[in-house]
Amino acid sequence: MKKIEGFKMRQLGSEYIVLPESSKLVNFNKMISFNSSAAYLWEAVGDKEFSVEDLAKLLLDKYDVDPQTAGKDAGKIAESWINAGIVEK
Amino acid sequence: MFGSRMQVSLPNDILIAEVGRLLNEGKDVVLMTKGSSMLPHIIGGRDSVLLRKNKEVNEGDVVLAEVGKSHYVLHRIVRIEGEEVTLRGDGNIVGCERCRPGDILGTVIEISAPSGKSRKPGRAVVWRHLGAFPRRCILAVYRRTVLKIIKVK
Repeated sequence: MKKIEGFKMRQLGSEYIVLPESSKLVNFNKMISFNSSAAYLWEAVGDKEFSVEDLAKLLLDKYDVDPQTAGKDAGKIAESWINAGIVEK
Repeated sequence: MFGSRMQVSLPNDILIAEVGRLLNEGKDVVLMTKGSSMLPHIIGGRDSVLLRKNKEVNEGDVVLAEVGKSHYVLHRIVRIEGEEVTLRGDGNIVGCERCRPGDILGTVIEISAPSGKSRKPGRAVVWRHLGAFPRRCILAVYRRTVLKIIKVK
């Protein structure tokens, strides 16, 4: 999967938010909030293609979790990104 | 543990400060409105607005302005006298706010409903000059009819 072009993350206060943003328009109506771990994953995958396994590996690299939990959480987050329309398969 | 959510409620001082920064950079910003202070022209919680930083503002413009420290309103300019700008919400019977032109973050260019239909904010010339009593009556009828029909929260 891959990020849909035009969605950028920014930190506002303690919140990480992802907004559709072009050079001329920023739409706060389609604002999605990330917690710090989702923000870490979003930043880490960059503009490259990635899989659920890639996300799980990134979680294992940074957090003290077992592979099963990381895989499950990575799957959930990938699904939520697809449902939110910010990532495409 | 790991996640994202669609419903985001950021404190106004953080959110609007960022909106102001983006407008200053020359970007247009789309923002959901809140509250009933701009009835009957803007329905808070339903309508969103397209904001732009214009070089000039005029009486009748609907603007996003900082009227106190981290206190922001989206109201209509009813008077400009030199460096003093007076604002009032279309849905407010009494009370107004004052600020300087430099406190205006952006001007509403377009109002959009969830249906996708959009409209210009206009200058509400007649509405601005209506007295408190007719405004109160029209708003009361509006709240009991139109808002009930469209079921705004």
